[in-house]
Amino acid sequence: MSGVTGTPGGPPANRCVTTALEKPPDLRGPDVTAVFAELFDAHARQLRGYLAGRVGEAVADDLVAETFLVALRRRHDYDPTRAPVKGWLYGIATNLVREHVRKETRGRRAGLRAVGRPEPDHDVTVAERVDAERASRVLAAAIADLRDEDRDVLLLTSWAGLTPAEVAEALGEPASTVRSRLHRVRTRLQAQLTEETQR
Amino acid sequence: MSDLDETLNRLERAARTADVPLDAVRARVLAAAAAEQTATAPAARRSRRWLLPVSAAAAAAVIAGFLVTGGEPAQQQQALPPSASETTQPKVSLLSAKEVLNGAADAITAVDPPLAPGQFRYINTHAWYQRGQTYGPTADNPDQPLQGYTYLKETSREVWIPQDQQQEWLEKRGWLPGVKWLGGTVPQSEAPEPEAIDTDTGERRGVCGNFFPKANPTKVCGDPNDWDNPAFYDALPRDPQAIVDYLRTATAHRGSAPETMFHWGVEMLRTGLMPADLRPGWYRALAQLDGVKVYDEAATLDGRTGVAIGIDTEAERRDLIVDPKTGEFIGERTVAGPKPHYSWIKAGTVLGYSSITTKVVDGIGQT
Repeated sequence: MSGVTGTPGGPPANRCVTTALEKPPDLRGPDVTAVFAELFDAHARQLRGYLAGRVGEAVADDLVAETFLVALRRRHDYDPTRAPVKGWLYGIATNLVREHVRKETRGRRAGLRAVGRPEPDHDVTVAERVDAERASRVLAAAIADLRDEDRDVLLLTSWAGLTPAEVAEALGEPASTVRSRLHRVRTRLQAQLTEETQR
Repeated sequence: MSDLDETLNRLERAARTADVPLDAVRARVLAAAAAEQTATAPAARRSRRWLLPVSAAAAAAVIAGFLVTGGEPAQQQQALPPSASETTQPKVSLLSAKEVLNGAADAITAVDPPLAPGQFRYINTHAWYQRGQTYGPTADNPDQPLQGYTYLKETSREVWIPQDQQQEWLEKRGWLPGVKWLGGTVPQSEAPEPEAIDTDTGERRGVCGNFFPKANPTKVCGDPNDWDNPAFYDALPRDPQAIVDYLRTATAHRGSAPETMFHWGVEMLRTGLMPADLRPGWYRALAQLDGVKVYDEAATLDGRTGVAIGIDTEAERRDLIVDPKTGEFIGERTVAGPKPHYSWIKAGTVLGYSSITTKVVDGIGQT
């Protein structure tokens, strides 16, 4: 196991972080507050980044809190001998994203919200930037059209930095299904991106 | 050409990397944790509403219990394929699911013949899956509910697994002609029929079942953790209670509700890889789960008729279809509950089904 530890102040949200928890936490133990403090400090920053990308900054904090509150209520269902806590936590978060998108999103197309705007990059030429913005628009639209399960697999690996095995844990599916779905989605999106941006 | 990962990384980057303080969120979580710690009986609290399984597993919030709406059971006797888009009335049979499953377990006399060198295990899955689109509220109509449409699409998957797994495996995927309209918020004329994407069709070969060599992590030969590998089933317990315990642990991250455990049990049967000596214990384990009921005494899949057994939930129900006389696993189906996930789906609609057949063949590609 890696000796790298994450710090609460946190690396950038979209980077894969090695958790500070060297062993799975015992969520069923008596010292609930200490365990959840440790869990929060290890995962909240990265989770906030993922959720902000999915549902926007305005609701990200609420969904971070809700994720940990659900984890708190369901802590007796988590089996530390079976799987790392990260996949379990992102499974909760992903369900909350779906609930949110399904029921509460107001003001814009839900799928597009999840992958909204491209970000300008000031280190490139104008031509490169135009190409990049076009690619971002194409990709945002393509992701918005994905099925929920495809979008989750893609963004859990890309934005949250989960491994396919952790995604499988999060979504409650066999790892082989996740692997083949990820491969299929990525192949399709890369093809769309190549086709649309070469026109 | 734009690279997918670069472009993905650019999307919403500012939001994703915003360095905002999380102190208030942390305080809120830890206050709840402290309250939980001092509560008198925290362990007993269960809120099934949370952690809804994403798939067919147990999408409902609450088990709806015994549902009997209306009394026209005749529909249920029809064969599935021609009537798949029709709805079936929730009906509860007088047969006990436990007796049917235990009887089916008793009836299994088949023994899997060992594969000889050069022989292949052949698995054919003929399945109808949901395909469609959903889209949410727009800027002009922020309060509009989720919209979209759903088709059922006919597909096939055939797999040949060699006796020596280090030899080449073969998989063929087929996009079959059948397509059925299940409903939508737009008329069918405005809903494009599903189109095959690259992984819906084609023939792929690979040793150890590695049909997608670029997938990461790569397939491991004889991986006992891989549902698609016979080794997975060799490693499972045979005792019914041990199987129940296994299913409970395996679904712990989804809350281990009986309907979730049942769903996983059906998914594993559905791979077509479960050996004959495991199936009796498997059926007996599923029979023990709370809420299992017989929903159809004569469900027909591709000409084979069996008893449909499932656990009801609000959104949908997963049925295992088994021949009670021989214990043969015929297939499975998913039926919409009283409150389906999508507003355009009627309660009782068959939302998908698959029929699985297996045999031993003498050569790769032979049927």
